Amino acid sequence: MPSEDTLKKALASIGKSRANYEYFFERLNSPDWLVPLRDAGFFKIQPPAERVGDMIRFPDWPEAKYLARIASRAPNDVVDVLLALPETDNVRVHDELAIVALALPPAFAEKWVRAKELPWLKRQHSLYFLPERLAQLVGHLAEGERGNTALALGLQLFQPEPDPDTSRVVREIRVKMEDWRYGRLLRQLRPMVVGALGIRGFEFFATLLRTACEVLESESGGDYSCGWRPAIEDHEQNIDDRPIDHLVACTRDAAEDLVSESAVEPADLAQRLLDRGGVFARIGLHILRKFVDRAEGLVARCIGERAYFDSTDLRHEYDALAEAAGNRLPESAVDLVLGWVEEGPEWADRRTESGTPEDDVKRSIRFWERDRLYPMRNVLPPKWALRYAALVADLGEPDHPGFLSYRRTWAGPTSPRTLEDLRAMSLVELLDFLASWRPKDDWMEPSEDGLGRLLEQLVVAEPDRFVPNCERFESLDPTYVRSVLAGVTAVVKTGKRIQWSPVLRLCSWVIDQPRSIPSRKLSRKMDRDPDWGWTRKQIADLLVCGLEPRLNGIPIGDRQATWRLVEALSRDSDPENIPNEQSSMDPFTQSLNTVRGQAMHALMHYALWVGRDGEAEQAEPSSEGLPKEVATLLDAALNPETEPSEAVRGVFGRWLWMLAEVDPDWLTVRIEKIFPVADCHLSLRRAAWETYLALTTPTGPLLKLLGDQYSWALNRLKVPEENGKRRHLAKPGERLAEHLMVLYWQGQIEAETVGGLLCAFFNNADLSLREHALSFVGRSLHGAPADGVVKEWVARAQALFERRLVLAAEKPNDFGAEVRTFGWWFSASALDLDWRFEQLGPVLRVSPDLGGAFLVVEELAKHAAQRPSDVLEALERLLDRENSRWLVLGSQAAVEAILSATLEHENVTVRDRATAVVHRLGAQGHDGFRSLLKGAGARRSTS
Amino acid sequence: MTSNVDSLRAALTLTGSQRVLRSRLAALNGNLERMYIGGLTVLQDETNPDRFALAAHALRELLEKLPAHFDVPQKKSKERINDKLINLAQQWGHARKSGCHKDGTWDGAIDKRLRSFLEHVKSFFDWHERHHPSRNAEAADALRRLDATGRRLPPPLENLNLKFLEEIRSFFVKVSHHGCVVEFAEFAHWLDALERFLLDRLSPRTFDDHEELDRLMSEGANA
Repeated sequence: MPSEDTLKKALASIGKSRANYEYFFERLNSPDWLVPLRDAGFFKIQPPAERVGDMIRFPDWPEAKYLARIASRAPNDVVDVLLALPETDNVRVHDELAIVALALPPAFAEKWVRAKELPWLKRQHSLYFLPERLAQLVGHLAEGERGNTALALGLQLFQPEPDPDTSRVVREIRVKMEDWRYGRLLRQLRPMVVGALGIRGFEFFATLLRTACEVLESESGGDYSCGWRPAIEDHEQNIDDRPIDHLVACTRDAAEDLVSESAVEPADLAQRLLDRGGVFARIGLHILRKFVDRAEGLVARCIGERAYFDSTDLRHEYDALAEAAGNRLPESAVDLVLGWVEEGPEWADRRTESGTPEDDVKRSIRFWERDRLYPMRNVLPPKWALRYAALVADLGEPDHPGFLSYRRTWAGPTSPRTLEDLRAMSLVELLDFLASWRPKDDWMEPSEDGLGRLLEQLVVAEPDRFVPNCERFESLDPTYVRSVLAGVTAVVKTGKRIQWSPVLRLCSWVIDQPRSIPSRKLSRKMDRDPDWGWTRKQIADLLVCGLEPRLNGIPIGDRQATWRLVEALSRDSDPENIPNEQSSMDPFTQSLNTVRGQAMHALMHYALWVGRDGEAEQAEPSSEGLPKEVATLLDAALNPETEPSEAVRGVFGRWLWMLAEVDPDWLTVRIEKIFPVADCHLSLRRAAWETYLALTTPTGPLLKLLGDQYSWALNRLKVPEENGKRRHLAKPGERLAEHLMVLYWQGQIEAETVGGLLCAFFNNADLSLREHALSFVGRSLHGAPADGVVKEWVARAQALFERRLVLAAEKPNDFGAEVRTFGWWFSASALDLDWRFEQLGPVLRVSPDLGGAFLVVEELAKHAAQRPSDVLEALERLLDRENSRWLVLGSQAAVEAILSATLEHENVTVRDRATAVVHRLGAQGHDGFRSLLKGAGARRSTS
Repeated sequence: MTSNVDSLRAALTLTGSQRVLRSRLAALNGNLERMYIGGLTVLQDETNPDRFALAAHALRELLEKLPAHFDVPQKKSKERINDKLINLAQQWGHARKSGCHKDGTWDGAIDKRLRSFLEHVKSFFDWHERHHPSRNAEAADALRRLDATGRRLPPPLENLNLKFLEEIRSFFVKVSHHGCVVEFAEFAHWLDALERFLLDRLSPRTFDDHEELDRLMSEGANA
């Protein structure tokens, strides 16, 4: 027993900090301290659950850990403590107390379970992580001959209840834990409970299953277990992950355990189960099947029981038993069954009376006969064997014997032939097959779309065979023509040289077809193209691909044929004019997924192609500006009356940089058309502007052209979004901030210019956008190599940061968050190290939560030996912050590196400061740093 | 203000642990540091006949302002609670006209007037609980925030700490009010107690404590 003085000193020490208190109770091992500590007020109240908003936290109780350690040595005292505790809502404490109970002898643990845990458990609906421990306790009590208490605790723990969610179509059962945990714990407990308690253990699982069935029956009026559990044995048709399935499996396995260990005769147990009916009767038949040679009498009686024969619920287990019994079945039982088959199904007359055609009824009866004879097919008398063989010859073998219904999954679309089959065909055979094959109109059947997908693969695999002959696919279904062109597109992407002329002729033929096919019938599956629209889109994709600057693209000699296609596709009816807010796509994404949109991209590629290849081949004299045909078509596309689509307008935003380079004069006079100022065309303006922002890196020339547009966008920052449903490729505000930062560090705009773009941004943008701007610069610099950024750009970035930091220091609430992502800046080696350290202190003072703090710690570690005081000061400030615990856990190696370097520093002040930091970390609960002190101390004393 | 403190600081001779405490208080809040340094400076001035009362006043202020630094809810002014009481009295006036109130007795189901009054009573006490914590609750909250884990100690330890803190505070209050005659040695004892208490929390020596605990546990087991 500790002396009064020792106790007093211990209390004084553990009262200094939570870390000391936890350290003490997590290591104290002597039962002698229990009474003195209890007299000092410990072990009398547990910490309650803490609720903060919607969150709930369960604090631990270190005192319980001590109780668990001494429980086996001082069970009486420990139980007295447990019984005197008030009830708590803290689930973690319940878990810790269950650990104490597990350490107690079962007779002592039982006292706590009966007096404290059971009454509490009855009122709980959700136990979080507690079930694991309580399940262990059930096993502990069962194995310790405390069966009644074990079963009472188990029943409370696993009790199924009706799910209160009334919105479900079918009422489910609810349990006190996650479904997967429920199954796992039941499975873990079964051998222990059945082993220790025998038939009582089996009844424990059966009781839980009965309760669950009652919940389900209350909805359905009968358990109809074959609906929710197709097979009693493990089977792919079972769902298996719901509590009811776990209960069926455990009850079944507990029954098998008992019979296997000869604790009960199979016939006795099966009869007991059959008498209970429902799913229990099915388990009874299952047991008879498993132990068929040990219960032949009951097996014969069951097979010869008409009610069992007729029951749809018992059907699967009945058939399985009949098949397993085989030759063991007495002739009388077989005759009885064959007599019932001869009589026919009880539904036959009803169907006839209800007007079902006689032939259909007869055929259904033949299916029924076949299925009922199937389990006995090996023991049928000769006459019946012949009859069964005739049925099979007519109808085939049963697909899924023993099941009245069967679930299947399917993935599609599928092809009527494999790729190898198609490959083996000659071109003529293939064309004939494509022209003649017709799909069945049924789900899961092969379709044109499935066949088309293989055709595409075939073209990719053998381009030399198919590309020169692609015109021969004319007149086939659009689905196949599209697939061939998709294959050609894929081949072009690989850089392979192809013959373009036949491809362009095929495309030209497609363009000449009427877009819609009025006589075409479409199935619900969308398993073939509805018209020529999808093929037209494929042609636009092919043109984009073929006009890109790549090896073996479309030769400039095919300019006329190419232009014909581009021009025709740019007049396609797709897209319809869908306002952005009603579309599922932003304008740019929509442009890529529509015929006209993609044709406009092809047009832009065409302009570059003519300039590039036309000049190189001297096919036409070198000229400035856009090709005339392109300019004409672009002008037409800028008329909102004839081209109201946001998708097409987005294409202008995407290619603004190209237009500015190729024909700045043309663009200059059309800026206001691309970005129309009229309110009625606001959506078009936004489509072009937001696509430009998202996909373009700004430059000086673009800024000159678009200065007014930037000003307009900055003014709109203060306008609340009218409709939150608008789709964006990227957040326009954030991209605007990034554009301005790029323009600033390039020297295109100035921070100081009153009324300038940057001033307007910082005046108009909200805090999160301003934070994003500085974060963008920090991230950009962070990724750059030390000497990889232009010095002037670095200087401008630093100057901007300093300006914002001054404001943040003056008004932390208004501006502090702007500099919170300094972690990226601090870890950017392109920035001067002294400058970074100079900023760090003020940033830590003004910004309550530093973004990228882990980057700061890692960077500090690199400089700990050279700048120990600066590094320690920064680390101290980081540790003073809330949530620093997570920072330390996430940056443990870096923190260790800092402390290792500073604890061994030659300067004693540095060492003392580092030592204080280690102690502080200990006070936060980071015990692992203690070894650093010992290591450093040992090395110093050695040296 | 800053230059004043610097000159005072220059005139002071601080022990090593006092320097550590000063710097930790400075890191927390400049005002706390000023109270501490002010108290020590006055105490060191032997020419000042009232130095103990003045130093005690500064140290008591330091103790009482600690919770405010951690945003612990503070007692609100008396006027504010009076406003609340006046409002409650008006509601009481309405409640007495309730149908459940006859001849000075209450009877029957709660009606609209009585329900309204009861809701006002609930709001009042909720407000009072939030804004008028006891000094002990304030101090307990401050201690929790002083702990590096931000978590509470269990009641037996928290009560010990609060009791000790109250003893220190009472001493300084009594001295600051000239409630007793005090010698330097006694004052130094309580000053030392205050400094140690704060240092244990602001600049803990955790792993030294753990070594001490290891020794005590082993001592208790071997006794």
